[in-house]
Amino acid sequence: MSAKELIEEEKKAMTMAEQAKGTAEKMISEANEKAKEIVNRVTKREFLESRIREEEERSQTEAEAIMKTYLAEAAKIKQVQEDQLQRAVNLVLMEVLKVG
Amino acid sequence: MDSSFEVIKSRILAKGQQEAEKIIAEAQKKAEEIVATAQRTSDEIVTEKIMPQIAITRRRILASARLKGRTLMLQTKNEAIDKVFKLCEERLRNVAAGTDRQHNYQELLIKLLCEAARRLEEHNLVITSDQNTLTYLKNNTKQIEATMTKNLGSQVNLKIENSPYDCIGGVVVRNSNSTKTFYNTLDGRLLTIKQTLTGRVADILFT
Repeated sequence: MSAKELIEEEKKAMTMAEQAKGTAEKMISEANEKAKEIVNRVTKREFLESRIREEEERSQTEAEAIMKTYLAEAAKIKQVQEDQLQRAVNLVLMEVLKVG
Repeated sequence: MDSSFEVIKSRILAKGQQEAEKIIAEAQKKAEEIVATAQRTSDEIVTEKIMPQIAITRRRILASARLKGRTLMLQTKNEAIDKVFKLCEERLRNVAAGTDRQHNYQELLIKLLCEAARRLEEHNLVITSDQNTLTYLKNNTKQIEATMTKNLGSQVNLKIENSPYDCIGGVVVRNSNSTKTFYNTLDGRLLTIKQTLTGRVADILFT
């Protein structure tokens, strides 16, 4: 048993702490890199463009559904019944020929 | 003595181990915070800068589709309404040609002429119309004058022009010095009616 041995043990303990500090620094550095990447990703033009493209595709699908509804409605209007058409024609004729 | 020395040694190592673990744990926590902060910043950028642009894109596309759809509906409705007025025009041509059983064109002409005379407040009238109507009016002037005189209660004199007017039928009537003109053609009347009756026609067709 000697003081030398104790000093050796103390050195080992200090080395362990130093190694931990090195690891910690590496972890922080990696975290900073990752953080930078996270923020950079959303500030890049490509990200915005890709999100807008995604939304365009999604909205385009909705727009097509909207147009389908209008087209169906328009098709219904085109199939005006003959009696409705005649009623309208008679109304107009009556007014045109109603001479006061 | 030996055993207490070993205890001291192991305490030294344990202390070193603890310190190392503490350093790693703190670094881990800090690293997580850094990433979490970056994620929050990223989310804020997305919410404040990207989402509004995405919303604009969405609104633009959907509004354009709705506008296109509404335009299509309006066009379709207008086409149906136009069809009604085209059919009316055909019927009026038949009326003027005397082939419509429901309407007597000659009686209608007297009414149109009387209305024109009343509106112009004149009894000496110069008349024009399409070629067929002009021929009829020329051949029956005296009889028409007599009927109008009876209907209006005062003498009516008609002068039938030679040059025809481009219309389906009906009459264009002016006073003798051409200071007043009353257009009472069938197409003119149809056009006027179209402006006021389109809403009711639409009601009949689309409700």
